Amino acid sequence: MTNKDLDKILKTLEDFDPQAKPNWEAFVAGNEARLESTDKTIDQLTGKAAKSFTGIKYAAIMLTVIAGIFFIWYFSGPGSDVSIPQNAIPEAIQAPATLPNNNIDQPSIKEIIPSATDKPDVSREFLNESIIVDDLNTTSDTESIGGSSGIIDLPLIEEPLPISTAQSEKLVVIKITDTVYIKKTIIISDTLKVKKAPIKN
Amino acid sequence: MSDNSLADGCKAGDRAAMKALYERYYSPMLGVCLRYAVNYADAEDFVQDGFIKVFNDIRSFKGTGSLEGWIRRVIINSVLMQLRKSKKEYAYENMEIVMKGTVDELSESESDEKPFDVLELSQKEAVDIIQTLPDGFRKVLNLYVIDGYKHREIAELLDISVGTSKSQLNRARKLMKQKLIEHIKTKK
Repeated sequence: MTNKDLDKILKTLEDFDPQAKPNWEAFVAGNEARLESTDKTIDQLTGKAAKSFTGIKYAAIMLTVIAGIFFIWYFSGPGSDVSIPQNAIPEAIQAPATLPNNNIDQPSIKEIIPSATDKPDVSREFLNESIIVDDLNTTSDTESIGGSSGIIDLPLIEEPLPISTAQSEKLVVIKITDTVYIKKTIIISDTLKVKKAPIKN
Repeated sequence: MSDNSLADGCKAGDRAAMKALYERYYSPMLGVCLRYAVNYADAEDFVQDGFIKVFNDIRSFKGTGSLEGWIRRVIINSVLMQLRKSKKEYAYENMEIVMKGTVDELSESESDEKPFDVLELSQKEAVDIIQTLPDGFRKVLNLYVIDGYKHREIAELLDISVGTSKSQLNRARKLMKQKLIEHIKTKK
């Protein structure tokens, strides 16, 4: 027997068919779990995929986005939510302009820092900043700094403000370290920054 | 229903199409598995696992070639994987030691010069003889002679060298011839 003879015999087996009867039901019953996973994959690839799963996924994404927006709004808003009762405002820094005809002894900023406005350097800084505030032309109940009366008026401050003055012979240093909330956020450090509040309808 | 329609149905997860495909190709694929297995029960297990693989991978069938050829390849790969996993497989080294003497005992003159009538042997008898071959011999003989794989492909599939594939084929042929001659003698 040559290799050719052998190969001829073996080649006849290429289409060997034992004429066995397939049993689809038994096949499915025996491999249901594996076929189920196949169905899922096919469904996903043919676009019939689990719509409920997609819905849940989108709902979760939307909830996350909404929660994110809420937290951003809540924690980094213009400060309007940080409402501090008016009685918490120290009278010492109530601006005279808010009480124009008030006979109550309310010391003005000039009284708090009597020599600050007298000093050319300091007063110039304050006046420059008051111009900025005027330009904003805010409509809230906060009083602008630097009114037409020529008196430097501080806005209403809704939080106790530790303002301390240290006066040497010629120099007055104003230290305001905390954030001041005036419905608009005004941060006073070396310079005065006024953030315009959103207009409420 | 055409093969491509069946394939498309299977891709879409249509159970009716899957059933039709299974029923159309179950028996021929069982025939393939019988050549690689050592008995009918193992072949049935192979064909079941093979069809699971077929349904899992049906999306990779592009429809350019014949569906039957593609299924056959998938089934063969699945069978080889099953054989690799199973404990039935002999180590090639051990098998070579065991079979070396037996194959060498068959003289070239005795095995090559005698004329052999192919008609003396049925397909089933040939498959029964193949099933008695050691796993390594059986796989290489099936892959190279019947299923048309190259030695390089066989080497990759079985994770052996090309030289090993060739030597396995040579020894498998010798042993197969010996067994065929013995079988015919027994029949007579």
